[in-house]
Amino acid sequence: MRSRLRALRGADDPEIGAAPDFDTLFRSCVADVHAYAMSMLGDRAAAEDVTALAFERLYRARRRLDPRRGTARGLLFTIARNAALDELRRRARRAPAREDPCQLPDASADAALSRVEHRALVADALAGLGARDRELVLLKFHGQLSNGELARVLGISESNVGTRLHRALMRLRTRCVELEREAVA
Amino acid sequence: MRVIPFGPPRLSPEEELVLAQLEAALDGDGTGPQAEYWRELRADVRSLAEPVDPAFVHALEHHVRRPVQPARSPRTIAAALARRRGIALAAAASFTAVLVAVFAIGVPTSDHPGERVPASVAGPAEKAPSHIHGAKAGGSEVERRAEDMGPRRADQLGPAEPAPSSAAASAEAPGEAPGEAGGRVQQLGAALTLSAGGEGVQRIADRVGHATVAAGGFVQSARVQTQQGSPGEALLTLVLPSAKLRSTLAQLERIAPVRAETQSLQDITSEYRAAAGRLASARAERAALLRALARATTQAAIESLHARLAAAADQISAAERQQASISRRASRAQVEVTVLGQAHHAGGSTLGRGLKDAAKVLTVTLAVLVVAVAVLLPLSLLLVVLMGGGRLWRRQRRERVLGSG
Repeated sequence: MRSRLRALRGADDPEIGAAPDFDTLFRSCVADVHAYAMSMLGDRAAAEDVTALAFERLYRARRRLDPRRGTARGLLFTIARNAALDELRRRARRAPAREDPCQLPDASADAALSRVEHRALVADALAGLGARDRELVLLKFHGQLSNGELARVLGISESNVGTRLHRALMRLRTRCVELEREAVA
Repeated sequence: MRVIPFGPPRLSPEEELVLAQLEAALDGDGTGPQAEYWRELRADVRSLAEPVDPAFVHALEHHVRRPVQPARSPRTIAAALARRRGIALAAAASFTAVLVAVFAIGVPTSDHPGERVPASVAGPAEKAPSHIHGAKAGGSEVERRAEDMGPRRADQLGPAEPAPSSAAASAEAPGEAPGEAGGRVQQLGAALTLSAGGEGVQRIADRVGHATVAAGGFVQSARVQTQQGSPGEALLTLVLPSAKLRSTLAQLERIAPVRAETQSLQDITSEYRAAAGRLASARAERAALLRALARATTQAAIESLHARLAAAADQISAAERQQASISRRASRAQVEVTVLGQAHHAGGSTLGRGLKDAAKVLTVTLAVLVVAVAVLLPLSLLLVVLMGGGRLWRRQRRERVLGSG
């Protein structure tokens, strides 16, 4: 079973059948899951809750995992996504707009000002996307999932994922270009 | 007319190229400005989120790893059971199905030929309670089934077996009229099923006939059926003196293994007394008429009395015939004997019986399984539909959040 899972995901993708593997998965994914939840919810406490919930559920379900039904990373993001959506539903409001990128910890240096500005632009463009497109982009970039894994997480076909991802990225890029032009003007 | 496309949307070649470039760029394989753009965009998006707090990561790691060897408290067990509610539901459904199947089929009753007990001669008395001594009217029946006894003979039954009909016993009591016990007039009957075994139906039937004649009775009717390839069967109706019923039955039981035996008793005391009463009345009337005839003086009175005497004589004859008939019924016992051939023989070889029992068990098991499947299938379908519906509903509820965003 382990060999099958390794063959499915590659040597660098840990499985979680045993404690060391779970540790590896935890260390490699915790930041991504947290970042995804943070981007979805815009709230550090809620993001930490979602992250904790996702790892806890995955850990409890580690014995019952079937590699044929997806990778551990994909399952982790599935749990995180469901938890994040449940949290959003509970709050019954849209995730708040991103915090000011200028307040991000890596944006303190003057030398990185242009970079920070660019990130602010991306943040605005991302916020301007529809919720489904934004979620897809976040899953793609934070989760670093393949289109097949995304299809499993979202419960849709892989070709559908490709279409939606292409459309979302094109919109994001177009929006970034527009915002950049507005900034220059 | 609006055309609704069927199936997943197809990617255009241009879209496929963009996605391939994206994948290559994100995997670090792609080069060029386009790949750089995608990598930069991913880095920008990833940097938008606040970095995770190391203290939280440490605490979470500790928290998640804590239940590596969790104590199996009742609460955790209950929680685990709750998580496995699907399994629990399936187990409950299976259990219910098996219960329903068992109740639907019922406790399998033996279809052993040995249960073919011939009808008792007691007729309506078959449903009467089996208190022989307490029988005042109607009748009673004692039934002893010996199909599970195998080849044992009646004389090997031992003390655990029900005592033979006390009617028969009382019939043999010294100083009592045949078929009478304690001043009661009783009609006795019995039915016996014998297993011919390897001896043959015809031979057993002959021996039964000889025993009957030797006991002072006779064979009222006999039907012996033997056919090549068929087990054969003999049905004999015997008439025995009631006084010798018990001893003759014991003798018959020694001829061949008993598979079933039924003894019956019908109380006909009231019928007998009624006939006796009618006879006494008719005789008294005749005596009175004779006295009146002695005193008669006119021709007309004499002729009238003669006519009435003739009628009284007819009544006396009828009453005597009826009383004699009842006495015959009490003095004779009718015994139905069924002799079953080899195929019906319960005491066959051990292997044969074992195979037969195994086939019976398999049949019952199969029937239980069929009923269980018949119950489980719709339940499973319902469960699947409910679970699928619940999952879809939850998913749509979640997706609605995105739809409103």
